[in-house]
Amino acid sequence: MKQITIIVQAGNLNLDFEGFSGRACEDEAEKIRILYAKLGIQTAILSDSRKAEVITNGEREYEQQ
Amino acid sequence: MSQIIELSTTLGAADILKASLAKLTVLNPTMAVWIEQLDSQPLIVECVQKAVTLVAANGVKSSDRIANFFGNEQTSHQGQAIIAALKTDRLPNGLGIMIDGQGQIRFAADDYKSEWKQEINRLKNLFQNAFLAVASQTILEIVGYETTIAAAADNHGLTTYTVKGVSV
Repeated sequence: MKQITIIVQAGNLNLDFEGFSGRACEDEAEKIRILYAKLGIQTAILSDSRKAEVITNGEREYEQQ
Repeated sequence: MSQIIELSTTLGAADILKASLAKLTVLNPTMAVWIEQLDSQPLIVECVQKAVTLVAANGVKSSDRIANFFGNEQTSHQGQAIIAALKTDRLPNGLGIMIDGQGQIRFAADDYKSEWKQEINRLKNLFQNAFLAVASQTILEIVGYETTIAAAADNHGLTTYTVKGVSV
C-alpha cells in the first residue's frame, strides 16, 4: 500500500512517501511538484532525506532542481 | 522505501515546471499531456473556497465582499472579482481574496490602521496554510489517492494541517 502524508506548517510542506519501490517515489514527487506549480504554488526543496541513500560512489543518482 | 521531502512555498502564477514536465513526459506521456493541458483556474477557485471554509472558524467569518474605511462595500477590486473574504472583529472590513488571469492569488484590504495591517498579515498566513492543505488534498486526489485532511491548532494560533493520501 502506497501512502503519502503531507504536513503543512507555516507555509512549508513536508511530504512523506511510504511503500514505494525504486524510483517510484521520486517520480511521484516530481508529478506532485508539477501539479503544485499548476495551482500557482512554487516550491523549492529545503531537504530531501533520500539524498544520503542515493549518493553512491561520490555521484548523485538524480539531479535536484 | 521511505522518503521525506521538505518544500518551501511561494504563491505565484499558475505555471508549469518545464524540466519536470519533460521528465514526466518520458515516464508517463499521457499524464504529462493531461497536466500540460489542464485548465487549473477552476481548480484554484475551488481550492480558495475550500480554504476559506477551513479558516472560517475560531472568530474568523467568511464573506463575499470587503469594505473600505468609510464602510463602502465592494465585491470586486480593480476589476477582479472577490472570490471570498475573511473578516474578524479586528478586521471588520475584511480581507478580500481574488485570482488574477494568470491564476495568481491576490489580496485586497483597507490597511489604514496599524492593527488592521497586523490582522491582514495574520489572516493571509492562516489562509495560505489552509490553501496549501486543500491544494495538497486536490493534487493527491488527481494522482489517484483516497485522502483525508486534519487540522490541529497550537497555543499560538498556528494551525498545522495533515493531508493523507492512500493508494490501495
